[in-house]
Amino acid sequence: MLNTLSHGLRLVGRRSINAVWRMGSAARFMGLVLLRSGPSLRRFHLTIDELHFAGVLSLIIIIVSGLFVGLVLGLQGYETLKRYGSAEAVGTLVALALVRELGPVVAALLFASRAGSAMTAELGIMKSTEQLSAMEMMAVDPFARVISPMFWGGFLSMPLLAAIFSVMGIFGGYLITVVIIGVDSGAFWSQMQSSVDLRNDIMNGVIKSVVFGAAVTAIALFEGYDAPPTAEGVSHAVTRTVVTSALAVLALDFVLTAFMFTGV
Amino acid sequence: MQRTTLDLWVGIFVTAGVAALFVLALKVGTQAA
Repeated sequence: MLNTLSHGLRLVGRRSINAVWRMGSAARFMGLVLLRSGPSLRRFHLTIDELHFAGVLSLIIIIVSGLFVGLVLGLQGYETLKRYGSAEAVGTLVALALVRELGPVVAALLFASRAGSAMTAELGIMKSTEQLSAMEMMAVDPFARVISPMFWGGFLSMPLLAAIFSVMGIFGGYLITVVIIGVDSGAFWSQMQSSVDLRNDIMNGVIKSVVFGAAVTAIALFEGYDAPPTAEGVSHAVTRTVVTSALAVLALDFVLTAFMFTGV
Repeated sequence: MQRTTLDLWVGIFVTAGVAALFVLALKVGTQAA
């Protein structure tokens, strides 16, 4: 009995120490990424390559997903609001849901699955094949040459992807409710414009997407850099990136929402 | 991919993203009075 208790406590202690150690390691990693960002911003073509990798290559999934989310929101919103005789307010529902929550959150989850996992795999394989060590031996700093451009590419891509997602969603909502169902177009836009506020709704959504972009990219890069240099280690790191990013995005969304929309 | 093609795609992406932000600001939302 005492042995089992002691074993359990040791396990908790070891896991806590590991968690604190990893957090410290991640903080040091992010410090180095930011400190050595100078070259990646001076030689901006490195960051442009990563913008292409993280942003342009994620466009298709973001556009298609945004459109379908908008179509579903429009359909569900119309069916619900019709019961209360306020079907014209469907534009407000679609726009507020997208710019406040679904745009930044779903875009960040898709970004983590598409670009975040790819960043982790690329960095993990570079580490396991000793490409990072080879760069260091040639006096080329891997943080300045590889990791910082990846971070800035992901960080800059995310707000743009979230905005495109929201616009495509609103277009999907317009398509299903106005073009197909026949809700009045003027009512759809005017109700939306009278309810959606630039500062409180749209700017807060943009701030969320910036925070999610930084969090997802930082997690993806750290997991790749910290991955054990084996095939199994890299595959576990990719899985951890997707799971940790999803949890981080949802937890951060709650915290940011509490501060932004409830005045906590 | 050639440098110019890559630059073009990134340009299209950034323009689309900024245009989306403008659409949200001007067409979807209104400034508080």
